Amino acid sequence: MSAVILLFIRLAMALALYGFLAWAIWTLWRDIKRQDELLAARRIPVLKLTKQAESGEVSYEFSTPDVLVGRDQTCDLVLDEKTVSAEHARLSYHHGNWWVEDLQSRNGTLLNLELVVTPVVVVSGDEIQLGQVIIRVDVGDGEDHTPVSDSNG
Amino acid sequence: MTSVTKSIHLLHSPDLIQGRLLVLTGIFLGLYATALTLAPAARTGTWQADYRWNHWMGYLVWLILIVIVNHQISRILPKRDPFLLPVAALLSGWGLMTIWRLFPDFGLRQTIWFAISMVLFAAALRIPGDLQFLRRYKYVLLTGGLVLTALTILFGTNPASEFGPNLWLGCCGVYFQPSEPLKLLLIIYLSAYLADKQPWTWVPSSKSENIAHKEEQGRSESLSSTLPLLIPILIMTGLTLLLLLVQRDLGTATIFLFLFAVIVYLATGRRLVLFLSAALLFLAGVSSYYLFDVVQLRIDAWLNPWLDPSGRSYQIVQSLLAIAHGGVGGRGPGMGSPTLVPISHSDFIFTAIIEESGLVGGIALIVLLMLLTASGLRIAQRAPDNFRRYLAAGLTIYLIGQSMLIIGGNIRLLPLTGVTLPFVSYGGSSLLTAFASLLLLALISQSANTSPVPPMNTSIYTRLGALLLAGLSVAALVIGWWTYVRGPGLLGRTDNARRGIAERYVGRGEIFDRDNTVLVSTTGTTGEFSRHYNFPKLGSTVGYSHPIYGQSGLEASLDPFLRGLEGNNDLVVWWHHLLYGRPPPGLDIRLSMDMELQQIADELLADRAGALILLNAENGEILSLASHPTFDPNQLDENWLDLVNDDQTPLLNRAVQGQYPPGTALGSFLLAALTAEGGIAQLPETDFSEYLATNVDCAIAPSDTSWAEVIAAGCIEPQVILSEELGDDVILKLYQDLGFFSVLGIGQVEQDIPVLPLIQSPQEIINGQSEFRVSPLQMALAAATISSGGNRPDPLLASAINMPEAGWQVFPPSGEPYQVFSKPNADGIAGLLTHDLLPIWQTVATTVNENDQVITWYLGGTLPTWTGAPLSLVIILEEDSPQAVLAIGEAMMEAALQVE
Repeated sequence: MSAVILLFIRLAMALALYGFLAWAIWTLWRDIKRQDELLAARRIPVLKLTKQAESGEVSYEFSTPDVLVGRDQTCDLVLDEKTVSAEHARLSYHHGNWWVEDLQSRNGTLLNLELVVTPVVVVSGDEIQLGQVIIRVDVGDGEDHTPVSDSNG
Repeated sequence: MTSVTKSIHLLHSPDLIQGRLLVLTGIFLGLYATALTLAPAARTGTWQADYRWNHWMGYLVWLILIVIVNHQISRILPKRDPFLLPVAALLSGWGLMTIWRLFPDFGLRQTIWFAISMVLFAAALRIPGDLQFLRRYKYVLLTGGLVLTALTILFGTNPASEFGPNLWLGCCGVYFQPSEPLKLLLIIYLSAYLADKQPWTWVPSSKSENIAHKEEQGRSESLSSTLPLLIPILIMTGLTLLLLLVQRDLGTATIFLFLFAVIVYLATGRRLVLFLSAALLFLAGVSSYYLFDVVQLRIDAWLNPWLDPSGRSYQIVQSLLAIAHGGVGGRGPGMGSPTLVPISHSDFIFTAIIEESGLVGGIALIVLLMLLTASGLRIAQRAPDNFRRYLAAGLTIYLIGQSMLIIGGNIRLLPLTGVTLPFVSYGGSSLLTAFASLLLLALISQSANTSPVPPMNTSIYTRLGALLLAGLSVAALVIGWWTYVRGPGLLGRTDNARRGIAERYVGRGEIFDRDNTVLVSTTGTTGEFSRHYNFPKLGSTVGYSHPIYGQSGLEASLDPFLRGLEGNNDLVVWWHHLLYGRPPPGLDIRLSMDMELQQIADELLADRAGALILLNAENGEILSLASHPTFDPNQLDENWLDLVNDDQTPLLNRAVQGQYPPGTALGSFLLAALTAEGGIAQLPETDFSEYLATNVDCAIAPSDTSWAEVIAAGCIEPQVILSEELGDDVILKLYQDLGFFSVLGIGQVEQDIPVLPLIQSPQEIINGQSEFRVSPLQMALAAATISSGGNRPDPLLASAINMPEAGWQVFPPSGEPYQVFSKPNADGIAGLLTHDLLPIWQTVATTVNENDQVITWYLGGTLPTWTGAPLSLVIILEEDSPQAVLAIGEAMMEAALQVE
């Protein structure tokens, strides 16, 4: 008799266990489907930064979402100029745009001659001034670059 | 526990999903605990059982802490991934209950560790989600971990055994394994380093028109720059590996190499890294096979576990037996015997879970790991920056990779490595590290970006996920293979101790003689049943059923009935197996044996080596079957080694398994064959008087020179004449008819494999030069033809079975008697060989075996005039004593006739 009761408990255990899995997989699947719709065809546009120097123009292209600009050698874009702080500004891509953010640099960051206080969206043709260095921004067409799989991401 | 809130991000809010999953987890574990409490009652079949209660403490601690943590995490991290906590709670709760079930002492310790982990987890939920402090202090953290691990070289101990590797630090009952958190620190270091040194593509402005060309350029650029980039992490990882190699912690070293390869692959997107690491791992495996004994042992045990199942591959074979015992549905909590597998609470906890939860539970556990894989990689993809992205992916790979390594080791998919199953296995360091990983994953998932930064190459994560899921699926398939396909075969192995355990709980059938004298009984109460042999001299016939030494004799051949597997309704067998994981109560068997005659036979044989078979010549029922020397099956534990090493081979049943040269013992059959047509007049006129005077080749001196006398006395020369008269073909046919070329067993389970040995010549058999052998049982059945009017019966020892509802049922005879001689022919020969005083016929013969040992045969039986059941008797003595064998034979026949 006790073994029959035990058998029912075992069955109930299996039900609880697979109920857990079914519920989890179902919600996960719904969520992924939803995310897929949201993320459909989202691309990261290449950021081209053109430094205007006396010797001519030098261009840098970034496909990473996060570009740190400063005098320090560990920065993504190194500007060896004494008016530029060690970590001067950050360009980052989110919410469908490239944004520039001043990292409390000593001489400040200007976007089209306006002081950057909070993160601001940059578009092609904008000019960012860090200390004495002027950088022209070109945002590429997102569709052509850096393939992004449209999986759960 | 749940609060329903609207969320834009998910269709169901994380709180709702997490709450529901945790409720199901709580129900599952509560049922597990209830089942565990009831299990002793189900095992013994009474309500007066010794119920288990102590694990409820573990359950309560688990429940309270999970409720608190659920509340805390919902409050502090409202946007976290909702699957992390339920999966971890289920895995750790399942492990906790299993550990309580295996060893309550360890269960208590694990409960304490679980409580510590959960309290720390809840306290650490407020850590800033950007995890910048980890990124900043990556070198400090890893170096600290390395120093701690290095300390184990000097101060390391092993709380479990004195001889194992010393991988723990601590004293006085609290021990910590630094290599566990070291894994975490390595992942943090690698993620931080690689995120900091993110390679970016630098292109001169003049070449920026062609995008395809540009990308190619960038790739070749970073190819050459990858190696210098990797040097610091190569050094750090190398140091770590070196440390683990010195400490012989090879399982952890494998995990490290794996982690390193995958994280670098994620960061660089270069498959070359994976191939190189795989090659390195293979090389390391091969070289450590020759360098480290333990690796050699593990790999050998993995490749060929069946070669040394009681030694080097004991662990893995026992593990597979436990998995097979679990079957599809599992035995139920507390109903299996997972403690038979060594270190079942740690390395082999997955095996223990499978034994009690079966394939169903094993697959569920693997699907849980798949869920964790999906969650973890999803968190990585949505992570706001590359550091947290690599970190999340690395943590997922650590948890899943280590699980796969130990699960694969348990099910013989991979060589065994002594790593733990994260969340599940016993061990404070392992549990803390697993929950620390979970904490980091939860923190990263909280800061997941709704419009995340697309990673460098998202298909890497998909590919990685597919790889991990494929590995887990293979593991699930392999479990199915062991439980479903190979299971029944594995459970029949003699080294499966579960069989012996089942016999302590289920009464094995008893064995009776024809007058219902109990020969073998099962004594004791449920849980302590033991086998008692009432007639120790019957050892070699009845055999034994022993939990360690297995079964032999009738106990082996009648085993399916005695264990209740046959004779019971198939549905009953299935039901018992489902409920208890063991067969239904065994069925009693009645033998044809007559204990009165048997005891006389044993007294007559006394200390002589040999065998005696007395059977009913008409229906083949064996009345007495003695083999000497024999053994006492009650004393196997004390005498086993002596018995196995004894030159006299007491474990051999000489009457059935003994193989002896027949020599001149076949004379009566030759005589019968020759007189088949024309009676005694057919015999050639031969004068034996001169031959008689010398008397060189007879077993005993014949009293006159008649054919009957010289045959009965076992003389060689007359038989050679007979065989030449008959010709080889006739003799071959005769021996085949007499059943000498069939292997015979006794009992209901019989082998009947025709064996046609090469007979050099009948004359060589008579001279004792042939390799032709017969067993005393075969000879007794052949002798039955002379007593029963020419018919050879099939042997029968088990005559009836006590069925559960129908009562005693007689076994049907296994075959029709085979007509070898005509009745007048057989009766005539019996008459020729008649004893002077008793109503019996008999012949005696001596020959030599391959060791030049003299063998003495006695063949005898009742006469056609005997009104009772016809009998035939065969005796063999492994000595040259025709007179002794005659005395035994006559005394035995006399006793048998009186009993009849």
